[in-house]
Amino acid sequence: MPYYKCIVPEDSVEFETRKAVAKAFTDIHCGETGAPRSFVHCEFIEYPEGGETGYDSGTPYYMDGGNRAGRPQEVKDQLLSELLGAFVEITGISRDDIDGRITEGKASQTMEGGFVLPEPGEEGPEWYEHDSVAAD
Amino acid sequence: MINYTCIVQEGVVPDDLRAKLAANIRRISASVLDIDAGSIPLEYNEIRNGFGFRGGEVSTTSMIRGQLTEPIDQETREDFMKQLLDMWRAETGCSVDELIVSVRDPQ
Repeated sequence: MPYYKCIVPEDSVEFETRKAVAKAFTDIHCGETGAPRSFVHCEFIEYPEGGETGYDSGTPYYMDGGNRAGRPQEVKDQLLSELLGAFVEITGISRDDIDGRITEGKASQTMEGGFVLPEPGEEGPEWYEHDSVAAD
Repeated sequence: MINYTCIVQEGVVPDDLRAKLAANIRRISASVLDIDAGSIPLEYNEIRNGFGFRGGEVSTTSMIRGQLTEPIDQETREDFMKQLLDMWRAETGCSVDELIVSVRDPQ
C-alpha cells in the first residue's frame, strides 16, 4: 500500500509512458507522505474499444487509489490533485478526460515486507530499512 | 467466512502452482476461522507483463487479498497473515518483499 489503479482505453498508453506515470506517482506519493518507494504500487487496466472504465465519472480515464487511512483531508486532496496532474502531463490527455479518487483502508489489516503496516505517522525507522527501490 | 482475490504478475507464479497455493490458503483459512475449506471463494487476477509497477519499476509482487464477512481480533489477524506469507514464500520461493497479504474486516 498505496495501490494506484489506472483504468485506460486499450492501447492508449504505451509501456514507457506507463512506466513514467508509475515513477511519477511514486515520486508524488513519497514526497507527500514520506513512504518508502518500494511500497508504492501502480497497475494499469485496459478496457476494450466501446467499453468504459466502470466508474461513474463519465471520463475515458480513471485513477483509483487505495491508501492507508488516517491522513488529513488536505494531504489527500493535494495527493489526488498531483497524481491526476502528473497523469495528464505525461500522457498528454486533457484534464477533462480523467477523474479519480483515493479510498482508504486500515493499515493494520495489511502485511507488507513481512510486517504489519504502521498507521500514518507511526512509522518507525525499521519501516524505511525495507525500502528496496532506490530513488533516482 | 472469507473470500480471496490473489493478484499475480504475469510470469511470476507458475500456472501449475496456483491450485496448490489456493488449496493451502483455504486450508490455513479453515484452520484459523474454523470454517469449511471447500466453501471459501478464491480467484486469481493476473496483471499482464509491463502493466504492474512497484516503486516505478516493473513489479514482481503478488498480493493475497482476503475480505472477511465477520471481524476478527488483531492478534488472530496478524498470525493469520503470517501463516499465509510463510506458506506462499515456501511454495514460490519469493522474497519477503514480493508478497502483500491483507485480511480485512467488513466495512
